[in-house]
Amino acid sequence: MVLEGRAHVFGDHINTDYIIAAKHKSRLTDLDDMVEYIMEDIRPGFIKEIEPGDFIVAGVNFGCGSSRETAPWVIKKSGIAAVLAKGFARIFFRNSINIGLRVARVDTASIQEGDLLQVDLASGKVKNGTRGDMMPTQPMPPFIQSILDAGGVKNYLKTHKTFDL
Amino acid sequence: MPMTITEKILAKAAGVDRVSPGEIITCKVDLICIDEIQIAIFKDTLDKMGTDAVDKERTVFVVDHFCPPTNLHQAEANKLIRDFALSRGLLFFEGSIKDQLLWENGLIRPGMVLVATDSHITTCGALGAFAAPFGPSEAAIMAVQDSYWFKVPETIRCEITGRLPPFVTAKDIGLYLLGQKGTTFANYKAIEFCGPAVSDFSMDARTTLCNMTTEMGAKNGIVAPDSVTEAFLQKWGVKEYPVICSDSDAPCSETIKVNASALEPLVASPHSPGNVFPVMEVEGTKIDQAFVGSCGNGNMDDLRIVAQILKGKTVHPRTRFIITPASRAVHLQALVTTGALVSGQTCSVCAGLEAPLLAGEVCITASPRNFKGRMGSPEARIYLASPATIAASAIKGIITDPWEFK
Repeated sequence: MVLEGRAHVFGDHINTDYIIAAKHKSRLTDLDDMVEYIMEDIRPGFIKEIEPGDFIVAGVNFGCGSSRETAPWVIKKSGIAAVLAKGFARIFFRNSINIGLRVARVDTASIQEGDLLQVDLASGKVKNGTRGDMMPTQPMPPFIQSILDAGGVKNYLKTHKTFDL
Repeated sequence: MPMTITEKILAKAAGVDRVSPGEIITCKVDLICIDEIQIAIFKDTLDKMGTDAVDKERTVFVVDHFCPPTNLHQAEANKLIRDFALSRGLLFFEGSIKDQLLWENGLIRPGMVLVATDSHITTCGALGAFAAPFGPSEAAIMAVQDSYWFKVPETIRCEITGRLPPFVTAKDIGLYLLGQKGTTFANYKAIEFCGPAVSDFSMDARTTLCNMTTEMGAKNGIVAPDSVTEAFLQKWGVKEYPVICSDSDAPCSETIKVNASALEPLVASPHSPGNVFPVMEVEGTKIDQAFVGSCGNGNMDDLRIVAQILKGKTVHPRTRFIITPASRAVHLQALVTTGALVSGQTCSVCAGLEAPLLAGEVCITASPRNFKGRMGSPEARIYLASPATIAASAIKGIITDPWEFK
């Protein structure tokens, strides 16, 4: 499967408070209500810029901070197809895989705002259609990849019943 | 083969003789703690899995952020978790921060595998447990399944020698490490604190150290159990536990040496815990609010040093000084007569849940994070510092080196 969409470029250390501010976390009983606040403090109105299938592109330590699972959820529900970053914070990375939000470690340095990207999930390659360069994604352990491919840990367990290490 | 304490605990929980860093294993989880922030997704996950078989013996449900709730959304979250737990006869607590609450109720013992839906559960590693944060979807599966998958982390050893100078605290050690090494150096790794200074530290100081490992990216922070651990646990009714320690020759990914005697009071300037400077470099910055509390610094050691510095002095009229004891037990011990506002045992100011900051306001805080917008307006500025530095700053209404009060 090849995903295609535009890049929305963010910097290093985008924390979960930026992704969804703590002041909205009490609205947790309805995730759909929270989506409009995505990246509110650092890029107001970001939700209006997103076309379904677009990518968030970032630097190091994406998703650092709290363990709130609402952070990957609002990204998934906003229509973002995947987050491509130089690196991820542990809890965010794990939460994303477990809810089926695509995350990939890629050297994102050359990607600019609005670039058209093609992400080939099978071959693990990101092609920048605007600039013409190609970047490999860092492969994940096969077990973790299989959870992501199942669409998250709940779906994985539905088919596998137990963890198939 | 020699192993670290973290590896030994995970190997024991996995029922195997040894594990290696990077290995993916399934192991038993001894305790899972869920809070009101994450209950909705936890419950939704169970609903979607079509199960309700939450293990009573291994789960605990906690209200510790919206305590008491200040709006209808928060009240709803509290009701959801309270109803969920009480209707099923599950363990439920309200009114202390989860880390303190867990050990004060005798629920933590060295050598256990503890998971919570809270990034700062790392704090409990100070008692010699493997304590790591997970999201609520995974917590839900752990609550109904016997075992769950974990990746064994590499360990960073942090050896602390020397003796902290007066009014320099464990918080300053955490800030020192963040300043030297940044906020990602421990990503996916365990940090074990050891060395003669750590042996001398009280449990309160150890919990502050482990709490700060989250800001370093760590999966868990840990201190091996010793006589301080034993005395502390005895107070909370925990007597029997396995004594698990690292082998002295266990391989580590890195060893960091810190000489506590050489440290000085530090602050992390906006907007990152890694943006660290000596207090003297930002001295004089006017502050609107000062806060001592949170899972990281709401213990008796923290309140004692505040009381010591504030004795016979008053808080500057420009500055609102809020103290939030981390638990009921701490609150009862803390007879604070300092001019500070003492609020209930909750996450409070740390996450902008009380006393939110307006645009342009400045707060100096002993809580773990100073991300932009975390305490209210994204135009506000947050400085992290030790309780000693905060007390000194609250007196003068500007960021102040506590050594002025030596």
